[in-house]
Amino acid sequence: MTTQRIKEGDSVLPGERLGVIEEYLPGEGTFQDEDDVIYASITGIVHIDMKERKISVEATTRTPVYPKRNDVVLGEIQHVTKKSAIVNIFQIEDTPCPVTFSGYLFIKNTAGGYVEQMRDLFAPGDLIIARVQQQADGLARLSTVGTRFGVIKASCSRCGEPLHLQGRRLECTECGNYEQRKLAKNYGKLSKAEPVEEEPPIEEGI
Amino acid sequence: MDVVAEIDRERITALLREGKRIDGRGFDEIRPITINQGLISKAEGSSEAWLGQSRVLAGVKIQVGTPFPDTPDEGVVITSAELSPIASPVFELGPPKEEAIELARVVDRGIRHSSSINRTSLCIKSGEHVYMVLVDLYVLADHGNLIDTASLAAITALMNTQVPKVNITEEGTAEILEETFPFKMSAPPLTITFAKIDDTLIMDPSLEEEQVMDGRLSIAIDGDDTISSMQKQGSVPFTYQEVIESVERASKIVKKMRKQLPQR
Amino acid sequence: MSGKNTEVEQPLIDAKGLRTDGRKLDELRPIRLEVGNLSRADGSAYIEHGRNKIVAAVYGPRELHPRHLAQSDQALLRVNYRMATFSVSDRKRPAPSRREHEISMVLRQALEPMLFLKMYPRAAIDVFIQVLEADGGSRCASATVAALALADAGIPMRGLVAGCASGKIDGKIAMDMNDIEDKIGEADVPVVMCPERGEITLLQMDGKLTQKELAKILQMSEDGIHRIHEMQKAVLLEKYAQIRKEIGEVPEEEAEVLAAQKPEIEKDEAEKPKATKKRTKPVKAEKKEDETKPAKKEKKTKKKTESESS
Repeated sequence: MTTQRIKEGDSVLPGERLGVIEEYLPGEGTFQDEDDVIYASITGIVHIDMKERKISVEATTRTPVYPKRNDVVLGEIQHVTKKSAIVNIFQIEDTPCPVTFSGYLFIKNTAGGYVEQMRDLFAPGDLIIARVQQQADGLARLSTVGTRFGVIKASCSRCGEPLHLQGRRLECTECGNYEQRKLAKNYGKLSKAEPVEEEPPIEEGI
Repeated sequence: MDVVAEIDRERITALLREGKRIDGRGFDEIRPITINQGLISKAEGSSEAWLGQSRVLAGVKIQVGTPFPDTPDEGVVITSAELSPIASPVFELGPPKEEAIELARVVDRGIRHSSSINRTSLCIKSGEHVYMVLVDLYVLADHGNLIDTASLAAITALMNTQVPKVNITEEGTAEILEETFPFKMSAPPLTITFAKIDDTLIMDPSLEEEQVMDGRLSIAIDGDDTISSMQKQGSVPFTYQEVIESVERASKIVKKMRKQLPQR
Repeated sequence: MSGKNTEVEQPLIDAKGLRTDGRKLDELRPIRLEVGNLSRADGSAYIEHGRNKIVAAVYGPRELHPRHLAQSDQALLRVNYRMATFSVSDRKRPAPSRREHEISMVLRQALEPMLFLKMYPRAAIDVFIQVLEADGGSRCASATVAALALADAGIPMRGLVAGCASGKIDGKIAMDMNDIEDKIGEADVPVVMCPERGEITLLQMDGKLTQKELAKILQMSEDGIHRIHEMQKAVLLEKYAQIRKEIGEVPEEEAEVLAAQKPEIEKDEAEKPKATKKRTKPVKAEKKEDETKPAKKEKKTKKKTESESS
């Protein structure tokens, strides 16, 4: 079983040795073991990013739906604490999730500036569009920085009726209550926000 | 009804009003039939039937048993079915549910009341030993109209069956021998199912059509063009005219289908 | 249960050293594999191993019902092994037997260490195995086919497992026991392992063996499993080379070369209405950088003794 050197475009199978950690960073469709060896975890085609020295496997099989880095997701705010919020993700890109995934939104990654506390921007029950920054062990770290991202549907915290956009605030036409949110450009539209040209790229290492 | 189903229904009914079906078939056009017999060597008979992409495997086991008291000279043919989760993401494990039981019962009745099987020929010794013919259906893929697919599988598995000869010992017990003879069956009953969507009846519904249909009607047409069983399903009524017309349409198609069945 | 006789009633090895089915002692039965044969499943595979005919379907990760079974930190793997009523000589009762429950459990434990269950908290991954015809070593063949179905479903794995049951017949060690050898031979050792990692994930033994004999049997099974693993790889590569060819990625010659590498597996001559399952084409966004590591360091061969779910 001589291991031939893996090249760009090779077909690989789960468990196949791709290289060692000294050569590459393990990317999508791979895993790294205790022995510092990188293996394929799925059936697919090898891609080597020489710039980043990253090796990954692009699936030729179906790909199970789960939140991956850079995916745009639709979710509901489940719980809000002072500095963070837990989000139930139920749509990833255009695909409804087979299970509700958990997302985590930290205050730093909400509006791109200083925010006093989380509940100034989000409330439980809000529908939000967010981007996945990172995914580890089933918990997706989300970001709502950028005009495209944020709340697209919210209800009045007093009477529960839907809130309507009134300038930059949300108004409850039932009880006259005004509320504040981190709004997405497409507030009120239940479809996924249209991609925006000037969308800021995700900064590394936030 | 959820939104997706509502959209699908609209799409399907709009086409039906123009005389079209979503997969381009005619109203009386059944999907292609494929039959693979004799796949399971440990079964006395077996057959895999495909109707389009719907796929059912039938296996026949033969045992020697005692006849029912009211029919001492007749053998027994029993059909059961399992909707295994391998056939569809919506099927669950566990004892057979309504749907599986209905499937087995409809197929069973189609065969039971058919004149194609001479039940007295399955008698070994009157009142004591008869052949018990057990047909088990395993659905491998559900793409709609499992009743007709399962019925095809059951019929063609029976046509493939070799019955072991039995010797009655001096003590009166039945001893199964190596030697076999082919299961006797004349032109078998074939089942045709119609889906009713609004006021339209379409033959051999696909999964998409089934998901939006109001009801269905299954008709088993025997070898002599008589009707050997029927089953109406769904909480929507059928008119007299619809029933009579369906039987007529089914009978026509069954004549064509017979030519596609494997000969024995 | 008590089918192991030390006294030989019927010779299992003839004067020429050949077994009842004409095999040599270190020879596998013929094996044929198919991938993606069940059109409604997320992943599926079919195996003929000797007279075993087994299909496996994989669903998931998907919503877990009933919900209270859901684990907050990882997916629940459920494996169900069932035998068709007509898969054995005497008709099996339709209700699941104790044997089927036990095999479902050991198969789950054989597959579990290969999966990254932590990637999908609260979800279920379901593996349904249906034995259509049974021969000796059906649990081993089930592991082989289940691994292929999981790969077909695109579920990330540490590697593919495969199974082989070797044992002792007429005082000799023999690879890949068939039905009769299993019934009247002296010992039977079903083994499932991930050959690339050298990990044994299923091990059972039934009969009577010396330590030396056991060592030899395990070596023999490992050898057999390596050969089966090569066939698994070949059938997966062939299938996906086919798919790439269809979408015009691989030059035809290369696809043919890949197809030709497929050892010992006959072409499926019977042209069936093939499952035209829609596959997500491997066309992703141009530069999708992804650093998601499917679980970091997790080299633990879990040996859980949970009770079986379902």
